[in-house]
Amino acid sequence: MNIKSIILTLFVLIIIPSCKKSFLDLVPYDQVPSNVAITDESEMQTALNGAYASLRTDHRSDPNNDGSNLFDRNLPLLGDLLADNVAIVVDNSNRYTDQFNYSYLNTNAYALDTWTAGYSTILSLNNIINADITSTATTSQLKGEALTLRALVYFYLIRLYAKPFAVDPNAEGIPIVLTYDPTLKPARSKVSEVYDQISKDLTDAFAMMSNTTKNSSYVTKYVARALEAKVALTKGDWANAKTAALDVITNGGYSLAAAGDYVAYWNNPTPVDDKVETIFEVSNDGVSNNGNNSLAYFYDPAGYGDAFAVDALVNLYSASDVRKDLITPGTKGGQPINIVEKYPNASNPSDKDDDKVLRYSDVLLIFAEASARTSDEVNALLKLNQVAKERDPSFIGYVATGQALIDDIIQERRKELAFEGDRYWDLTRLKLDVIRVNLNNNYPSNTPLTLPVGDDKRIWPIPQDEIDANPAITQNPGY
Amino acid sequence: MRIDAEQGYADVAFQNDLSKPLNRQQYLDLTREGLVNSGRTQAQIDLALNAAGINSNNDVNWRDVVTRHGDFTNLNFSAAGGDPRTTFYTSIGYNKQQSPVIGSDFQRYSGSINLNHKASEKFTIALNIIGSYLDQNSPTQSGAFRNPVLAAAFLKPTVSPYDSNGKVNFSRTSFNQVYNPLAVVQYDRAIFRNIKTISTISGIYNILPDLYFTTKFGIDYINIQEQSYRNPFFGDARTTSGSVSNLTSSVANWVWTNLLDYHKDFLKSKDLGMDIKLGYEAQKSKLYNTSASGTGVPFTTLLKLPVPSTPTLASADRTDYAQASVFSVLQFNYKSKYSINGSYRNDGSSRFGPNNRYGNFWSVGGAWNIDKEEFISKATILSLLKLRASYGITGDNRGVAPYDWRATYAFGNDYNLQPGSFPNTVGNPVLTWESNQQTDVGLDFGLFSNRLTGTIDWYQRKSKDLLFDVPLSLTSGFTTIKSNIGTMQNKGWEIALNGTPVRTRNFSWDLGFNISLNKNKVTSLPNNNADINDGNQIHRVGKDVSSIYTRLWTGVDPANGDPLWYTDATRKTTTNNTPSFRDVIGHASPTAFGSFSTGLNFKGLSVDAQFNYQYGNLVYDSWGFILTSDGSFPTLNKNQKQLRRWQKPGDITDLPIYIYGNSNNSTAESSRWYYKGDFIRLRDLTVSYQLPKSIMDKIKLDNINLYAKGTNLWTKAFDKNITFDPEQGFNGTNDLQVYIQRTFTLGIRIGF
Repeated sequence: MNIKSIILTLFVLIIIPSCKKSFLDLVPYDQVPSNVAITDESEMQTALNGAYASLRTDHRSDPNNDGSNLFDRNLPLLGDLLADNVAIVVDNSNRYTDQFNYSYLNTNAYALDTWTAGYSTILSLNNIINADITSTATTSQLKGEALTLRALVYFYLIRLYAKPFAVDPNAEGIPIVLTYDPTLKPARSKVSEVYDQISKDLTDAFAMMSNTTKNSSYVTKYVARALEAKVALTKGDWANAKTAALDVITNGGYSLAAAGDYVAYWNNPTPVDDKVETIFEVSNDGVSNNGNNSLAYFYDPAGYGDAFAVDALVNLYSASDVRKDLITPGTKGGQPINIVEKYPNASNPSDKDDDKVLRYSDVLLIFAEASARTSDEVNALLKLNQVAKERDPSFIGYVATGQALIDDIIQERRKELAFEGDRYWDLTRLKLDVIRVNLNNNYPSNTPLTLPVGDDKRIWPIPQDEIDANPAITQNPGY
Repeated sequence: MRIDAEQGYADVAFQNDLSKPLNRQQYLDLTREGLVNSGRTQAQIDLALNAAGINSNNDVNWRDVVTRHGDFTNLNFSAAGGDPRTTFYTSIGYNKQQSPVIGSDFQRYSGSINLNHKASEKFTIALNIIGSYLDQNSPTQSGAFRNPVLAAAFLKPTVSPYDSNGKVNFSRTSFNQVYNPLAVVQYDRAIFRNIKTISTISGIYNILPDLYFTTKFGIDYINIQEQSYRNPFFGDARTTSGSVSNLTSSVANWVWTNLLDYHKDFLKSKDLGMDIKLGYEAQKSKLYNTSASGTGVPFTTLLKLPVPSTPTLASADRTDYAQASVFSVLQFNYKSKYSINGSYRNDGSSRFGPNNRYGNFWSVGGAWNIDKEEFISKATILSLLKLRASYGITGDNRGVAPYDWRATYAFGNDYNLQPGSFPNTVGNPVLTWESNQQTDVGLDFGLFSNRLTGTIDWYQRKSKDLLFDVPLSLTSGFTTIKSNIGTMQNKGWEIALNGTPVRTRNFSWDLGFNISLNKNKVTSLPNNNADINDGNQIHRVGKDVSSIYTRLWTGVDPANGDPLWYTDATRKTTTNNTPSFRDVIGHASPTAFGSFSTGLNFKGLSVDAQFNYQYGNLVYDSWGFILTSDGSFPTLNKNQKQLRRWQKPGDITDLPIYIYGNSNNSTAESSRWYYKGDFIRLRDLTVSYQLPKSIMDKIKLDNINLYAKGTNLWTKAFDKNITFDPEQGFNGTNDLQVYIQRTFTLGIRIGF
């Protein structure tokens, strides 16, 4: 063997393999390791932006799956559709028909997507809340926002997938996951334990946040307080509901839109700084939005136009009620319908409707109801009429007392919060049957007109995928 | 030099009567029946029938609208030549195809050069370059409203593709969900371009008479350009006033292989020989994507690819992976009768974490050429007999994405136009190679001077550390984790037989047959062999890894047309209340597949046919819940099978009562949507004629071959209830893909 050959052989056998180690150590260009994703204020803000956005669209879900969003369709739509406010047109795109007909199974895609998107948003939030970085005013503000959002997501999940607190606080709730451990197969906590966690998060959040001004698409101190009021109302904890609501009314700085500005308020697709009406909303803009899978597109007759306001609801509004201006008569496939116009920006290319999560009128009505139930009918009527008279300038005001007053408040809630996903949860917390009044054949003949309290379908199934992957979890009855 | 030219015609390979869409009358009658069954009033029935299109006179077969006669042309020219030191081969080709589905076509240009040059007695250098350019228009597939195959099945027969002026109609009243596929083809663009070069340069250096060094360096470069335009008038981009997007993607992949090859003869007679190979291979792949899109385009139909007014996305991303291997082979031969060999390799992959990156794999094997033994070579009937056996362990990292093992945050979940990050991958630091322990015993034989030859192989492959996406509790925030779990076993036979029953001077008849029989079972799983669900499949110990796990559909109650399912594993009681009980009903992998062929040759004329077959697997209809929906999704058309629905007490049928807006969950996931995937298909039938040598000599050409060829001319589906082509891809799912084609081709091959 000559020298040349020996050198060549050595080159092959020694030199090339020696560069092996770093050769195989490849790092992604556009991702960062999870354990160093949140190490300072600005990274925490970025992570929190991602969590806000996942209230709209969950990036980890199948992008082709059109049910993978929380507040931009599933949650606000179902709160009306499962109840008695909206119906599906005959000539429909076949979405949510199982929900409309109460025929969902354990394999229902919307039940799966809401669960999945809910818990993946909770993961995003947990990682912010648990981020181990030096505490500053900014980080505690951001953690406070995250705690509030975590409470918000749990508040929806516990109501969808477990018995109402009002029915049985000791019933099986949903798993409480506060730290990240992908191997965990958690069992269901009690309903009351979930509510305790929600309350704790909101109390902590309120204390951690400062009095910063942020626009309506971000959480502030009084977003946490308003949510606390709503959670307490749901539990039937009137005293705390009243205290929290009063705090928002007194210190939050919010106001109702004047009757003349009401339609313009709903036409505006942009978050606001003026604290008029909106306490918290999930922002959708011209670039980041759910397009055809948005709530707006579902109501828009130029979109799917699948859902419409039933006549039984529309008839509740007086002719001079400004809220009626957002419901206009029309037809779909020859069928007369009432078009919902609270979300008119589906075809606006530059901006899209935001998803209202908490509004000031809701807090006023929470205060009214909690007052009425704690024998403070004067204040109850005051706040109830503040809302009712602002919406209908010709209205002389409610005067009832006792149960009639409470019924008035519940009906005012229905009128005020229609198409914002609230109605079903009122019926649930009050242990009322869903009774759909079928005027003008709004409901097809094979669509159930009642969903009594205690019916298995009042509660959603735990998704079969969760049951399959997690032996510790139990299914709801009837699935 | 050689010229090949082909011209052909293509249509849809498999369409049975059950899969056809309903015509106008059928659709309206069924809709009316469904409305009556749903208990609606006459006024409601009239309203719904009006929406269904009873007042229009249209009777459109949308499958005819989206299908057409496809055609294709293939041209190829090649030349080879050289001198004692340098040889070359070069080719250029052109393919053009128009698919039988509208909006789907491509053109491809390709070329190649091979050069071999003997630089000296000891050194040879070779260069190989292949290049191609593909320009393609392809429709969106699967559940997209713009998929023409979906439109063909879903659109109502009462809606016309044209308006009263004879123009393509895209009004949202007529097409409020699924878009008019003709309008999509006319107004939208989906262009896909692929430029690809594969270059390899290699050198062989003869260091010593028996020692060779080979080095080979190859670079593949693929450039992909995708441009899509969605119009502002209707469809996906209406609400953003149109959209335009561009994606450019380039993949550069290099592989460098170095090999030392040493041969040694131990005996003068050269009866005992040894080969040693030692090598090293490094590979790196780099993917680079840039995408840009925007919305807001001018409201005109004159532009094919307008400039958008609002940019919405401009991003770039990269993905790399690398692999490094050392390998060695040692082989001994004795008198060409016996050979034994052993191999060892160490593979490192960037797809795994630092502590689990490398896998060690090896094998041993031996072969005995029995026919070389004297006691056999005397038996004239036996012309070939060889026994082979091997045992070894191989590694697998397929299905592992480049950064799967890392837990990462990604970006792009933006809020108020501010950057947003999110937990992207769960990561698995212990992810490593899947390993397969394979035992193989084979026999090759030839009889009657190899007029009958055959190969019989038996194998057993035991796999461990299987790479799977294991479902997580969704409460973790993730859905699956890529993991090494469990063990499984594949066992089977592979048999191939080829024979020539008749061979005369001018005539021969060949027959061929092959079959692959495989039996798979999962042998262990983590957590005390707990089942692992994977969509509609389940991994369960003792069962095939692709076992289908779903509700057990039993049919229809003759009394009232209700759907029925079994309630439990005893398979005795049925219920019309969709149960949660599921069970294993079969598997997606076939029990056996293969082909048989026959060929006749008379002088220059030959007829060859090849049939492919497969059986034992189940195929899944992922869209049956709409196409035979029993009345849910009533505003979308149904297929002919829906007409078999139950109509009156006593009807014995397999389709439930049709109720408009049906909510009885008859279409829930169940065995109802699985069909036997058994089929036989005439894959290839070729009639060709080789012009006689006498003529060739006259026209001074080497040879001319004329042929007519058909592919997929005939298909036998053994499940008489199936509504789609039983030959489905690897996952056995009908997802409204572009149809498998049947083609007819005329071709000529000239050598000179």
